Amino acid sequence: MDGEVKRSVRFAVVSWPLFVAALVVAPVFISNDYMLHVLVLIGLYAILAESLNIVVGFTGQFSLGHAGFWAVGAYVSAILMIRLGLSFWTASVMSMLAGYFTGVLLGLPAMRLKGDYLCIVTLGFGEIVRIFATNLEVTRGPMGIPGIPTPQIGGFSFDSELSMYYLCWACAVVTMYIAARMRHSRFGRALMSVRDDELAAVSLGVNMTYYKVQAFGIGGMFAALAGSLYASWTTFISPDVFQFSDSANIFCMMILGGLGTIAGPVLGAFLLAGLPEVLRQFAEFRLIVLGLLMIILMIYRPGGILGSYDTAGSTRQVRRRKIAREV
Amino acid sequence: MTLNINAVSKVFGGVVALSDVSFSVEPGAILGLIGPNGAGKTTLFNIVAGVFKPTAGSITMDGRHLENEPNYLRIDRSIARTFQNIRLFPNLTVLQNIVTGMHSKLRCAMIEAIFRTSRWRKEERDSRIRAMELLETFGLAGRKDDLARSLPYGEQRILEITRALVTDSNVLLLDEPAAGLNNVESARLVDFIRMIRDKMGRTVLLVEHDMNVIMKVCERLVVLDHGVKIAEGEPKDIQKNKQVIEAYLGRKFADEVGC
Repeated sequence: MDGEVKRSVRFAVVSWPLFVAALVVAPVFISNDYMLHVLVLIGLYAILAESLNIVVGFTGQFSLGHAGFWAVGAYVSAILMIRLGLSFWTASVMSMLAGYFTGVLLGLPAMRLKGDYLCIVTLGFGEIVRIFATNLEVTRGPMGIPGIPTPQIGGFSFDSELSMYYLCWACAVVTMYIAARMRHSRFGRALMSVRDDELAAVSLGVNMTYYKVQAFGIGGMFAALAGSLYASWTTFISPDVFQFSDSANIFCMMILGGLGTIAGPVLGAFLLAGLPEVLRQFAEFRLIVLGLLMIILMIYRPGGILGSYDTAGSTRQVRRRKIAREV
Repeated sequence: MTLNINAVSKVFGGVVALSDVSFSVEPGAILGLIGPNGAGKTTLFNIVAGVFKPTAGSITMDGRHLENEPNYLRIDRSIARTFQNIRLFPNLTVLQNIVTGMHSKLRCAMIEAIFRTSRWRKEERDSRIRAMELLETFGLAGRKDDLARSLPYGEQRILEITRALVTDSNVLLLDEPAAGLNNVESARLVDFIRMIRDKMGRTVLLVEHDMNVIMKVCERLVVLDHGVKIAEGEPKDIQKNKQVIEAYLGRKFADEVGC
């Protein structure tokens, strides 16, 4: 095996178990439900940001409508559970399928568009989903859907914050892991090649249309999973939960943490979903502080907090190698 | 594997970029496509590479019609290309660039990468070994972990050619491979192109402006001017061809040379 892989394997061998262990142990030190509640929310945002990362960070397709998939997942899961009495597990798998097909459906018209135009189409998609939810009968319009059952397995019910914490973060870790593995597969490399240079990718036999559509599908699928978890966690959903501001927020998490990295979006979720809670006593200044933070970060680390790691890391290596050669 | 260009025409709006151009590329040939600016070389090149569809005429590979196939299937027909303004995957490493070039040959689905099946491990290992072999051959092995965008221009060129080679396509289309290279680099390029044909048995079709490179490496030339094929033959004959001299330097000069 070569150096790059060895290094990344060594890094992965240490970082993954550490991260998972920290997540497992964390509730021991956090006894109050409020903190756990915030952590569950961070976990859901982590799934959302990570799934958006597959579309934007891996494939380079800008999407400002990610909350739309989140809503699709939440509504499909809630409706299936309440109307058809399905269990959470079946309903969430079905909602993931729905998220996937919605993603493919959005991907089909979106694949011909780039940059600003794509942004507008995806933004429109997010709004369309919200407006559908507001006006359809099956979603109960603006009244929303109350009384969504919590997940149950055997006799155990995930009705405490602690149990939902573990469930949500288990899903988040699986999403992260899949995203991480994706980069080492033919599929993931095809996505990244489309991001870096479409024409070159096509000249190597990459069916660009297929991969763009698939990226939207897979991104939509995991966002729907987050939606399904969200619905059962809060037991109530309504159209105004899934606003454009959420799409923008998820987008910011991904950019802030590091576009195209695995840990970046999760870090972004911690910062952007966690900081507002920490800064709650400065409620009025919260958004100003966050905005300033974003601006400063984008000036000094345009690739995101972890995003520059790759490039900085490799230039540092090159520099080190050069020094070694000179010595 | 013979690549045939049969009576290809291409019209952009009212501009006739190519009219009725025919020639064939025999297996194992190094064929150069030359002509003054605006002659239609790049248009023809793009038609062969599948970027444009011809207005009339056909492209065939061993009798199989390619002109209406989507671009990404060219690799399956054993045609690979490089670009005039190098198109690497800048944010991937040198090694990742090469392995991405094997896209059409790898078989493992994403699910196998997630569960790290033995088939996936073997495929990744084999493709890495194969990529490293090629990188050794072209002197880029030491750069394998560097991002493609951090390479100097000349090495980016070589990397792009290597990426096209790893597809195992029989026909290699090179679009102005010597553009922007210095003398040392283009001499190296000439050696590489020869090696690609002699040692790897590939067929090469190149568009090029640098006459030094053309005369050194090509065994046969096709000359275009204003969308029309005006000459075809060996470089030494082309050099004396009156129509070619006229196209490049004007009639007056052609008369003075006295062809």
